[in-house]
Amino acid sequence: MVEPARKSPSDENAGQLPTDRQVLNMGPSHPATHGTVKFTVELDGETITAMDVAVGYLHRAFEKECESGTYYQAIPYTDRLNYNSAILSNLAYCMAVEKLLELELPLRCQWLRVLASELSRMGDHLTRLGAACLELGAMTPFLYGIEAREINWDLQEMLCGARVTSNYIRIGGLQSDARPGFEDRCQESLDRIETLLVDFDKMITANRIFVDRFRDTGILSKERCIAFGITGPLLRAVGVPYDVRKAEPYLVYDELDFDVPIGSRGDNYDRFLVVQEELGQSIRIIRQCLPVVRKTVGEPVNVADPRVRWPGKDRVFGRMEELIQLFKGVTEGIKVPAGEAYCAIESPNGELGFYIVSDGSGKPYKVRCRPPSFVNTQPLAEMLQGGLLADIIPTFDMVNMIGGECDR
Amino acid sequence: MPGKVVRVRRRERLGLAQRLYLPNIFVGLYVTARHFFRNLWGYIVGRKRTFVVQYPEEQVDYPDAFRGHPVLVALENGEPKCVACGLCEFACPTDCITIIPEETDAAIERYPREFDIDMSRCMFCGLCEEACPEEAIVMSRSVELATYEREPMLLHKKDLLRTEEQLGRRIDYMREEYAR
Ligand code: SF4
Ligand code: SF4
Repeated sequence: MVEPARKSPSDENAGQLPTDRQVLNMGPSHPATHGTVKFTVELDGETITAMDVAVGYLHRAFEKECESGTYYQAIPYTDRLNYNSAILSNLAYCMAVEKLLELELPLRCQWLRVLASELSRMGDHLTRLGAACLELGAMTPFLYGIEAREINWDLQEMLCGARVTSNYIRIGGLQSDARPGFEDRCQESLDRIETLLVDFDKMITANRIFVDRFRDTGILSKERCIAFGITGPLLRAVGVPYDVRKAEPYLVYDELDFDVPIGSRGDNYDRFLVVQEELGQSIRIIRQCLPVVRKTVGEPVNVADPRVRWPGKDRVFGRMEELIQLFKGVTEGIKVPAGEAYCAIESPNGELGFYIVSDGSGKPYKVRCRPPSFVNTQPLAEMLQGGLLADIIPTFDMVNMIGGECDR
Repeated sequence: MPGKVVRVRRRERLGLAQRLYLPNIFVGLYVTARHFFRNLWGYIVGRKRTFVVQYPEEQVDYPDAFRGHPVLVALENGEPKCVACGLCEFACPTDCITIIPEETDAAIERYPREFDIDMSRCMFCGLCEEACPEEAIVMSRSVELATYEREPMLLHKKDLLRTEEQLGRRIDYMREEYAR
């Protein structure tokens, strides 16, 4: 909590206006902070002199909760981390478990995972850009962004049965294969999203009111970014081309052709442009995935090992062996070899990692999540120091702190 | 690895048109008006492009994969297909399924005397459906569960039973997608 530095009115400025600093509480539920977070801001006029960010309002013991169930039962909980890109949280968790199991995934599974995660990333980026406009008072671009997200979420729903709580990725596979007709629908939807993005860009990117609010606000230097451990678009906006998909390619990202956009100054405008460019790159990646997904129709999307992936229903119905495997898999949980593993992926906010310790039983001994939102929220006070009160909104939008992920 | 690092183009040196504010307003109006007329035309010719539906009267058609709340499949005689093996109970992360099994002399000798799902805790994850070895618990297409009290959220066996015809699409989906 910041204490206001009180200056007693002395004789020499008698007759002038008093110059007390003012403390303003913003949040925990403020319409402009799309997340439950509280700012205590000390103001000198409209200039921020000190700031305190209080997180933790959405803490629900996610990591501890994971230890109470089997490895499978933690997957739906990971949906609730970053609710804008649930598939990516599923993916990070499952990949960490798979690392312990040393699994080799089928090709179609890997491509579908990349496709699903890029869809998910798009959903998150569209929300971030749309919401940023809305909170600055621009309703129309918000609606275009949300319309694009709606199309995107329809695709995700077609793929995994839910719009937000996807529960799509499984250890050693996927919940289900893509339905017939998905690829065509995807192609169509991407075209529509692209036209909407053009309109979005026309309305906002070179709009003077928008540029004035975003340019040179919330700057954080390259050195400080690295010192804080910031990743994702925030780091790329200062000109560091670090992307986990490039630095440590997972799945089939090393076969895909996509660019890493970077900024130069590290202000909110750079962040906005980087995110906007990444949207285009995601579309590009999905376009490269579609032919492969089309070509590999009918190939398995799950590993064949029933000790890892619950056996399919057709086999369970007819055969005793598989039925027993299913009973063991569900009641005891899959047995993961003792050891520890850390696996990181690129989420829309930065490096999302899971660290899992296994004691060889069917339940995780420890699950730890490295949430990019939490790390990225740390320097908020430093970014805004000396800025105006109104700069909080665009800066917080671009930091994109997601309460569910930050507080876990 | 293909792909390169690109620097984003900052369009901050705004031209005169942007600095004057007014021309930009017309660009905005043009974009908005185009959307308006395109949507209007869509209504006229009957090819709707907007996403708004008049919800309770109008409903969207969910895709095959859609997961509503879990329900029980009924046999022809109205009894549940479930054999009370308890796998769904084990698989459920939130422990919202309660089964009390009982044995009979009928051909299928085990059945659930009580089968309750607490919908206030269910998170529609579908793990129960995936675990069931009998295709007896499936995700329906219904999501309308809002009530004023907590009591009606606890669904009992008789509230959960659905015939196979009612669930048709989902059962086809399961047979196609859960075969591996
Ligand atoms: S859908 Fe998930 S939470 Fe609901 S009863 Fe089934 S397993 Fe439990
Ligand atoms: S898993 Fe299926 S058969 Fe077993 S108790 Fe649940 S609904 Fe019944």
